[in-house]
Amino acid sequence: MKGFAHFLAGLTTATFIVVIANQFYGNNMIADAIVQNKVLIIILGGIFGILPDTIDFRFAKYLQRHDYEVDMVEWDLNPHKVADTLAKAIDQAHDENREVNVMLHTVKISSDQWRQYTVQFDTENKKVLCDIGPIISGFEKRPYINTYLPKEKAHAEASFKADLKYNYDAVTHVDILSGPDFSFFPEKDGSVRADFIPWHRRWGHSVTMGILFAPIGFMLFGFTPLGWTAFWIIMLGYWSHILTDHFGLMGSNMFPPFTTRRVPGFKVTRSMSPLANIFTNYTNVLLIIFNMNAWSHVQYFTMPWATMLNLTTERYAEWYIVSLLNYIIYYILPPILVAYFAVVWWRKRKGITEELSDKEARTKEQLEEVGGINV
Amino acid sequence: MMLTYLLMCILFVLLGTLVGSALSMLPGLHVYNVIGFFLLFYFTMGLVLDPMLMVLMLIGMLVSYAFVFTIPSIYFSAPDDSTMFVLMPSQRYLKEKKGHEAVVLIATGALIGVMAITIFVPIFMGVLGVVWDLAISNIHWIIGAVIAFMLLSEFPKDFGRHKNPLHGLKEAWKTILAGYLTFFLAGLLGVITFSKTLIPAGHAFQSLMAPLIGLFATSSIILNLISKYEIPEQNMPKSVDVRPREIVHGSVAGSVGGLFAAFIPAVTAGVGGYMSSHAFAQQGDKSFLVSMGASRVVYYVGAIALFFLPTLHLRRGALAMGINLFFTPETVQQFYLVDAGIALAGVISFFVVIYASKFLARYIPKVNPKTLNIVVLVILIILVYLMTSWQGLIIMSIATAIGLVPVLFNSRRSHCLAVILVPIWLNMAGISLAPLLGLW
Repeated sequence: MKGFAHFLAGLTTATFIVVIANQFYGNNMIADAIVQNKVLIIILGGIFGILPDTIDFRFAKYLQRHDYEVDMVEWDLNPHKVADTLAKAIDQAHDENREVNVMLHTVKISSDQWRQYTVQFDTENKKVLCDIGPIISGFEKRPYINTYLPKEKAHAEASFKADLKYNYDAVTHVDILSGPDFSFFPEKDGSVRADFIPWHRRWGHSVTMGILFAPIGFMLFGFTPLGWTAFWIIMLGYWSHILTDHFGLMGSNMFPPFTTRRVPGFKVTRSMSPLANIFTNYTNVLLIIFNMNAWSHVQYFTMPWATMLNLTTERYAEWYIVSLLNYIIYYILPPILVAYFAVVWWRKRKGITEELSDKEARTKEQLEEVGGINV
Repeated sequence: MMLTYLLMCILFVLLGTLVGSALSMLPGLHVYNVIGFFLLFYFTMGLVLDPMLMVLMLIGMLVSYAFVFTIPSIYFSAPDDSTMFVLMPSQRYLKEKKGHEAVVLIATGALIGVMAITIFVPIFMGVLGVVWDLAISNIHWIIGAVIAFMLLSEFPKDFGRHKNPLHGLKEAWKTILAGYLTFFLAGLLGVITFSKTLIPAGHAFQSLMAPLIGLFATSSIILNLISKYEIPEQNMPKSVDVRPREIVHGSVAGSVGGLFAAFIPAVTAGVGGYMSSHAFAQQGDKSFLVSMGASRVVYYVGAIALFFLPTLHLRRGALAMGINLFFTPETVQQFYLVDAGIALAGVISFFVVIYASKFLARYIPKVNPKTLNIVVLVILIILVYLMTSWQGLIIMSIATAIGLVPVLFNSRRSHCLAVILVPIWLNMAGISLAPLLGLW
C-alpha cells in the first residue's frame, strides 16, 4: 500500500485501541484525555504505521553494501557491461559461497529526463539479457520515440553457470531516481537465489521491530493507563503496516533475526493499485469516524440494529459490536462493492485485461513501490 | 419582482466573476486581500444594496479567483499556497510547449469541482453535519496527524551513487533535513505572524499576505531569475490528450481533498489535494493537474457552500468570516441561491481561464522571461508594500529566504505550509509558544 494507506491504517488501529482501553480503564478515561486534555496519543498510530517504509527508504537502503555498481552515462551506453556484471555476480555468489550485491544505477540526462534500460534473467537458458530503451520524461515515464538505439547497440546477453532461482521473471526497468539493486545468495542446494531490492521489507518490516518500538509508549507517558495505551498503539500500529503490505505479493520478513527471508504475501492485490488504496482508505476513514462516535459522550449517530435489539452504551461491548457490524454492512461494504463491480464491468466493456502472472505482478509491485515511494 | 431580483442576482454574480477574473490575473494578489476593501466599500453604502446581492458578487469573485489564479501561477511562475503544487508539472508542460494543455487540465478539474460542490454538498447535507460535530472535538489530533504525515512521507530524492553507507545517509538526509528546517522556520514565522505580527494595526487583516507571497511566489521568481528559465513557443492543440479515467480519478481525488481542506482548519487546498493524491494512489501528471484544479475550487468555494449549508453554517475562510460581518445565512433558499451562483460563476470562469490561457500562450513566449520575471517581482513588491507597508516587505524578504531553502536543497516546498499549519494546530491543541518567544 502507499504511505498514506499505512498512515491511515495506523490511525484506525489507534482508534480501536482507544475504544478498548476506554472500556478497560473505565470512565471514558482515555477518550477524555484525547478530547478534553488534547493528548496526541492517536497520532502515534499514524507515525508508527508509516515507520516501516521510513526505516527502509531513509536508512536500510543506505546501509546496503554493493560489490558491484553499474553506472552508465548517456554518451557511453553499454548493455554488455550490465549483463556481464550481473552474470559475473551470480557465478561469484556460487563459486565463493557468499552473498554478492549489485547496484544498477539510473542514467540521468537532465533534471527531468532519463535513459531507460531493462534487465531480464532467463533462468532456463542461464542468461542475463539487457536492453537499452528510450529516453523518458519525468515521473510519467513518457518515451521520446526518436531516442531508441539500433538493435545491435541496444541489446546484450551474458551467460552464467550457476542455477538461478529468481521469482521475478518479468522485465526489470531501470529508469528514474535511484536504480534497483540485486542480491545473489548461495543456497544449500547449490543454486543461487536472486533477491530484488534486498533491503526492502526485511528487518524494518517485521513483527520484531513492532515489539522493540512499543516501550516508547512508556517513555512518553510512563507506566500509566496512557502509557499502556500508547504501548499497544505503537505495536499494533506498526504491525498494521506489515499486515496491509501482506495483502500484496512481496510479503515481509516477519521475525528477524530468527528468519531471513520474506514470507510471500496473500496475493490479494498490488500495493500501488489505486482501487485497493482507495478502498482501504475509505474503510479506514469510516472506521475512524465510527470510533470517534463510539467514544464520544454524545452519540451523533446510532445504528438501527442496536436500537432494534434494545442495546445501549450501558452494555457497551454488545452495543459496539452490533453497531459496528451494522455500520460495515450499511456504509462501508455497499460503496466498495458498487465501485468494484463498476470497474470490473467497465474493464470488461473496454476489453482491458490486466492479468499478470504472479511473478510479473510481484516485480511490478516492487518496482512501483521503489518509484512510487519517492514521488 | 421575483424575476427582477433573480436577474439582479445573476448580474451581481457576473459582476463579481468579471472583477475577480481581472484581479486574479495579477500575480500574488489573493482575492482575500481585496475582499476587505470591497467590504469597506459595501459598509459605506449598505443601506442601498441588498446584502444577498453583495454576497453573490463576493462569491463570483471567489469562484473566479479559484479558477483564474492558475494563469499567473503557470505563466508568470507566481504560485500561491495551493497552486505551488502544480508548479513543477506545469512548468514541465510549459517547457514541452504544452502550457495551455496544463491550464485546460487544471480548469477541467476545477469545473468538475464546482459541479461536485453544487450537486453533492446539498445531497450530503446531513452527513456533513454529523461528521463536523464529531471532527470538531478531535480537530487537534487530526491536524497533528496531517503534519506528521507531511513530515514522515518525504523520502530521499538521491540517485543512489554513494561512496559508503555513511555518505549515502548524509546525502539522503540532506534533503530531508532541509525540509525539516523549512518546516521549522516557516512554522516559527507563522507563530510570530499569528501572535504578534510586524504589520501595522491598520493593515493587520492582510498579515498573511507577505509571508505567503514570500514563501511561494517571490522564491519561485528568484529561482527563475538565477536559473536558465525559458518559455518556448507554445502549441495550441484543438483537443487535449487525456483519458476519461485520468479525469475521473483526478477530479474525484481533488474534490475529496478539497472538501477535507474546506472542513479542517489550517489544512489548505494544496495539502488536501496532496494528501488525497496519495489516498487515491494517483499516477501521472495529467490526473494530478486535474486533481489540483478540483481541490483548489472545492476548498475555496466549498468553504462558502458549507457556510450557507443549513445543517452546518461552518465559518471557514476569510470570505465566510467577511460575509458573516453583515449577513447571517438562515434559509434553505439562500443556500440554493448561493449554489446556483457558484455554478454560474464556475462556468463563466472556466471560459475566462481557457481564453486567457490561449492569449497568454501565444504572447508570453515573445516576452523575455527575465524581463517578465522582473516585472512580476516588481508587481509583487508594490502590492505587498501597498497592502502591508514596509514592515510587510521585511516579512516577505524573510519568507522568501525560507521559501528558497527547499528549492535549493530539492526538498518538498509543501513544508512552507507550516506557516499556517503550525500556529493553528498549536492553537487547537491548547499550546501557546508566544510567551516562550516573548511575543505576549
